[in-house]
Amino acid sequence: MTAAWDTTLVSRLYPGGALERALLERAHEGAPVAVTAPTVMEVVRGIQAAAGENPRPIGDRLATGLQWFIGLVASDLVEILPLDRPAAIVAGRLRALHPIPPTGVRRKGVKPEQRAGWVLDIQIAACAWTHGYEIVTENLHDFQTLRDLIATLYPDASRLVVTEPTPNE
Amino acid sequence: MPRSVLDPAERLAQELGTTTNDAIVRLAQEGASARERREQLSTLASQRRAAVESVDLGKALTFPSPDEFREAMLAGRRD
Repeated sequence: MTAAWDTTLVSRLYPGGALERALLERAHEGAPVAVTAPTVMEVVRGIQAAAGENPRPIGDRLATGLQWFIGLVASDLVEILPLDRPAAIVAGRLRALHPIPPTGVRRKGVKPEQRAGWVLDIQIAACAWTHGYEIVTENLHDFQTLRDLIATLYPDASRLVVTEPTPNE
Repeated sequence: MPRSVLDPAERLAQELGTTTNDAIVRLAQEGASARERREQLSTLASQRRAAVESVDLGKALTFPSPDEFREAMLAGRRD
């Protein structure tokens, strides 16, 4: 099954880093890594905001990093999974069923950010599942919760597969 | 004239109380208008998508550190 990287993995991408090498290898093999549109939105939002908030030279460096990231996701090296009609329907249903983040895991940030992160994770899971991808994440607990919710909503459809990153990821 | 055009033209002619030929002209006008709208949308979408995805690293001096970069990427969850 083909894998989609969630935000926890994408946020480890760096020019020349191990994760970028893994991504380039996958693209070379003709099976590019998939990233969901909500992850792209989240990451771009973060870098754009940080570039604007930080003084020079950090802000300039982050602006350069943003250009690199946009170039990467706009290329054929990564497949972007859109939040299309089926994904939007699934995401809406998931959010109604579980409007707040699961308990039991310490989440960083204050409540609004926790909720924003949870809504994004819902959209990421919905995109990956409706496009037929498994999700690779460091955030197993939350995505397993989403996997079970999807299975409750669509018991006859195959389940979302949630996996941890391999050492190469 | 293919049936896929003639049948709707005859229905439209009956609905409007006009001739089949007039109805064919009306359908052609609607089709041309729809095609023009699609072309305009396609042009606009292409221009906008190209603007969004254009990258300029010409003035780039240095890159952020891995930690700076990751922290920025995850900022929405940590503010």
